[in-house]
Amino acid sequence: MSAFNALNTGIYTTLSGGTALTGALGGTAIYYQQAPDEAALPYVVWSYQGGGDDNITPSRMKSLLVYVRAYAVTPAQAGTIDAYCDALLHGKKLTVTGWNNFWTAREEDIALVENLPDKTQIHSAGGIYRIRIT
Amino acid sequence: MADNEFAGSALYATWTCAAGTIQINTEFRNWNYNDQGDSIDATAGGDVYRRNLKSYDNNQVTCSFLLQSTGGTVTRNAFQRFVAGTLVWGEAGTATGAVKTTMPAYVESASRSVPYNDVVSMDVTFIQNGAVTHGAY
Repeated sequence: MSAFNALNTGIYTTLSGGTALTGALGGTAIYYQQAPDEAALPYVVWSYQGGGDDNITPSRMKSLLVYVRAYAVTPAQAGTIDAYCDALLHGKKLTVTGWNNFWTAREEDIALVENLPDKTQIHSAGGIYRIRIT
Repeated sequence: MADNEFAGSALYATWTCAAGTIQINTEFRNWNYNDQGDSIDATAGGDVYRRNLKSYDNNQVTCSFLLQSTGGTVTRNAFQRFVAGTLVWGEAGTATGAVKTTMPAYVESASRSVPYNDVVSMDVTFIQNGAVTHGAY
């Protein structure tokens, strides 16, 4: 199975299984790469920022950087949701079909604001996680 | 002009001992063979340069590979100090004509490295324990 597909399933399953997170989101508003157009805030998005094969042994081993962030109407709400994501991912072992996840750790913290044409703001808070699978 | 260099990923290597046959190349990171031995100083009289007689062979192989969480006790038992066995390897793989080396050996040392934020690896040093055969696949 594609590492992308297998890991995406693992990430979604892990995040959507967190009751504190889904409670804060009001459901499973957790999306890969991009939220649907005009999706209601708050929501969580993850995407790949880099990484790939290590090529240090004949066995396949990947080290992937995954950017998981929350989008919300206030910085505080984004930060709270980010903390829920962090609790579900940092130091945890994800189920990745066909692969073995032996390392998942947050490496970078990122908080941004986006200004919309109607002068409202969307705040994001999240982190880049290094996920290593073999 | 076509060249024929090759990468270390072509290595094929096994260690056969009482614990079984371990295919080292599956998870190896580095392999180093050192054809070395003792020599006897035969310098005498009016010699103007040092002369040496070939003495005992003392070849050595050092290798590093990743440990598997599913490996159980087999790997540990196979790579304990003074476990004797036979190393067989080919740097260019097992294609017909590729160089094949067979070396009876024992494990001189085996260390397990467990870094917090990286994979667990093992470094093993083998010392020659019999005549080395230089052949081909």
